[in-house]
Amino acid sequence: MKRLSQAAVALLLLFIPAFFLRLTARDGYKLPPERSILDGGALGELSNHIRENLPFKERLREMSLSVRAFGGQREYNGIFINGDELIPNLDPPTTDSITRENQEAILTFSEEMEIATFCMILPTASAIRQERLPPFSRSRLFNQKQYIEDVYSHMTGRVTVVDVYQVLFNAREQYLYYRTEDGLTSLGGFYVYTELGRRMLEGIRRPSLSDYDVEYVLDGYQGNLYEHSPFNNARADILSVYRYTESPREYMVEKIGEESKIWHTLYPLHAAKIGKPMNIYLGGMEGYGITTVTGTAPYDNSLLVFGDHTALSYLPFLCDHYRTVTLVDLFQLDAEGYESLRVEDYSAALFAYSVESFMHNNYASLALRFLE
Amino acid sequence: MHTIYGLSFLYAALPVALAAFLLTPPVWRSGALLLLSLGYYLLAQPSMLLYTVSCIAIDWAALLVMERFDDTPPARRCCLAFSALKSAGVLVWFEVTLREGRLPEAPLGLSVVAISGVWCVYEVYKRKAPYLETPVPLALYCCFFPRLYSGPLMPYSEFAPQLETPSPSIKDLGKGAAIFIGGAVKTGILSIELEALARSLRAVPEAEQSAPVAWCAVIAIALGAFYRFSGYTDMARGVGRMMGLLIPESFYYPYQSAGVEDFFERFHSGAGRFFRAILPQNAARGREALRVFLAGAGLGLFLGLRVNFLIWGLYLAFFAFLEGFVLKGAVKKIPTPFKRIYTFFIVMISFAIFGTDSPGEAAALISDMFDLRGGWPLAAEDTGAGLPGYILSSNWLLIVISLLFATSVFSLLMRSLRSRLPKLAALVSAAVSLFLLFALTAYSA
Repeated sequence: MKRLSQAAVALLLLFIPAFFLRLTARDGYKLPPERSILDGGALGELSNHIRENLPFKERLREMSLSVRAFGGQREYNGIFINGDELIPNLDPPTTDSITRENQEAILTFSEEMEIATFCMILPTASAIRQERLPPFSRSRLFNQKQYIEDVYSHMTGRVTVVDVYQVLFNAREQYLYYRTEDGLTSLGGFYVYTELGRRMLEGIRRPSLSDYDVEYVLDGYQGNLYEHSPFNNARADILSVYRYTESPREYMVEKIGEESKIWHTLYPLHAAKIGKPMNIYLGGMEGYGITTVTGTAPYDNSLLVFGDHTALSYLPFLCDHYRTVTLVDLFQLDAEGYESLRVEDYSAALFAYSVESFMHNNYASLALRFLE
Repeated sequence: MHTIYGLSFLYAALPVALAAFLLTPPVWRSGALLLLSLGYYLLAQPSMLLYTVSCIAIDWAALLVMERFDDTPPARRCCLAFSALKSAGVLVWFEVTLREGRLPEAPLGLSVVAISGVWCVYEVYKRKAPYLETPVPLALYCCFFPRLYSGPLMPYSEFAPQLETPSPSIKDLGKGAAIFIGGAVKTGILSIELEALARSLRAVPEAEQSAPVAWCAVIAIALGAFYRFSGYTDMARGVGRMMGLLIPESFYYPYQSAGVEDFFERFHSGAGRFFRAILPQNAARGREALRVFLAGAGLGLFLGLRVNFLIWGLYLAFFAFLEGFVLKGAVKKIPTPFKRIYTFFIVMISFAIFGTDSPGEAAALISDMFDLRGGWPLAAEDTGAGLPGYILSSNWLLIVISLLFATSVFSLLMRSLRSRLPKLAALVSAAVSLFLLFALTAYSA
């Protein structure tokens, strides 16, 4: 028996490789043309080739991840793996100079433009769903609640701040954030809208959730977090859109950017069929510095929103209360865009960014160009 | 990047080398093995093959001259000195050149080739080995491909006689494969993960650093070093066994040593044997004490030409000196369990030196281990929760496995099983090897 087992181990070391190589040989192995077998990289290239062509490669990777997860590792590339969802961690900046620049820019904008100015900073999933994170990891989380409070404390009295942290935290068990995409779902957007509406739409009746019809557009969406995490067992997301049923509106969505587009719906659902599912929300933001929504709402007011991708979750709800809503991505706005936009034509301005955007990107500072 | 535990070695280079070796008639096998070793070197690091061949050629020339002047002791001594100076000079030259950035990397097997050459010449000089008829045994002894990474070092007189007609049996193939796979897992998984764990613990912000965190980091460094070096030597032993060559074990559970002298016998023992062999024994106490320090320094420098490694070797040699010369009687009276505890303590502190890049860093880490800069030792405000707790909890399985297999517990269990249920033990051994091969492949996938 001992000799048999020893023979088995020896044979597996000789024959399993031959079996693997035979299986991988269907594609053949050739060194890249710029390499030579004698430049010291042949064995490394061969390793890469074997790795890419291993039989049951995906199964092996999943098993390796499962063992790592069993052994306690729940974070890869800054993304926490919690059961069936991926939660990106937020790395705080080394200095708070960008935060201060953004704060000062909003205050200056508000003082110079003399229009009602609002500021909303949205917490990310790692703050709201922190109870789902691995043990001990909460101690290394950046305190977003404190951060938001500190930012707001510098603005109170000069700019109207909208604190959505508590309303999101209270509803944390609901499907507020995507499992595989870094952002708020439509339901999360609705909760943000309820708090926004409370601060911005005083006296105006705001619908409840039951006043909307929910249409499930895509079941099985795998978002951007999938690419950055080796963990492929996260449950896919459902993309849904909310349509106000009580007083249906008509909309025209104008996109201005690398190319211009016009849709007559808040939700161009065809985007899901052409490989850009997240563009079903107002046509997405990539490539467009300005998105203007003009509707048939019985109101005369207009809203200018300086925001990031999180705006796509709650803006469709806000559009029901404004004649015109314009979403501006200041990073994608070109000189022509700055020229075409007349800030003074708007009743109110809203600076709305996620914590991550606000602390890492000086978006708001770019708005000062409108004052020039 | 290629490594000996990588997929290309595991599934291409090794099976091809084994097959070529086994298909060669036994009388030609040592030549075939030399060609395979040089071929491997050519594929892995062709730019440095000339260095390796030159070193071997110089040692071969020294041996030829020594044989020519066999009855002239001063000439023989000159040949030995020449070989030793050549090796020392080559090591220093490459270290300086690398630090100045004039070379991208060190030659594969830099230390092993240099020291093996000297050891061969030394043993011939001491007449422990006969003069060589051809350079093949010397060349193979120096550059046998699996030994290039970290040895183990062994006397030429033990290696050369095995080269006549190496003929591995089925048992050798099986046993060798099992040892090789175990070594590959040690280096390819455990040491990498432990080194990453140590880096994470050292990167914890100062506000959360504490004595327990520093100790955990040092233990991770020590375990990482153990698995890295013992993994490489096990892979060499495994391949050697598969080719009918018995290469001695170089690591024997060093962290359960009972005394620092015992630690030197268990940690890279081949290198220790070399330095003790070439440094002449002397009845004079002072010179014997010097020999201990030189052997310690030599071991440190063999592992790498860095100041911290030298200090590491001297630090341990100091305690070996205390045990062997100053406190000899007292040490003998200490019960073994307590000797293991104090040895573990001293050795772990040594790895605070080993695992850092400068003496200043080492001092800072040791200071953290005793929290001397703050208040009372071990009384840091945060002693385990927070980031260190997160890091440790994220690696609990790695920690348990690493600690378990750094001791002889599993080995004793297997030995007991083999004596009571040999068939089951054989099956378990085969199953473990298969599982480890699978695990290494999955990890590399």
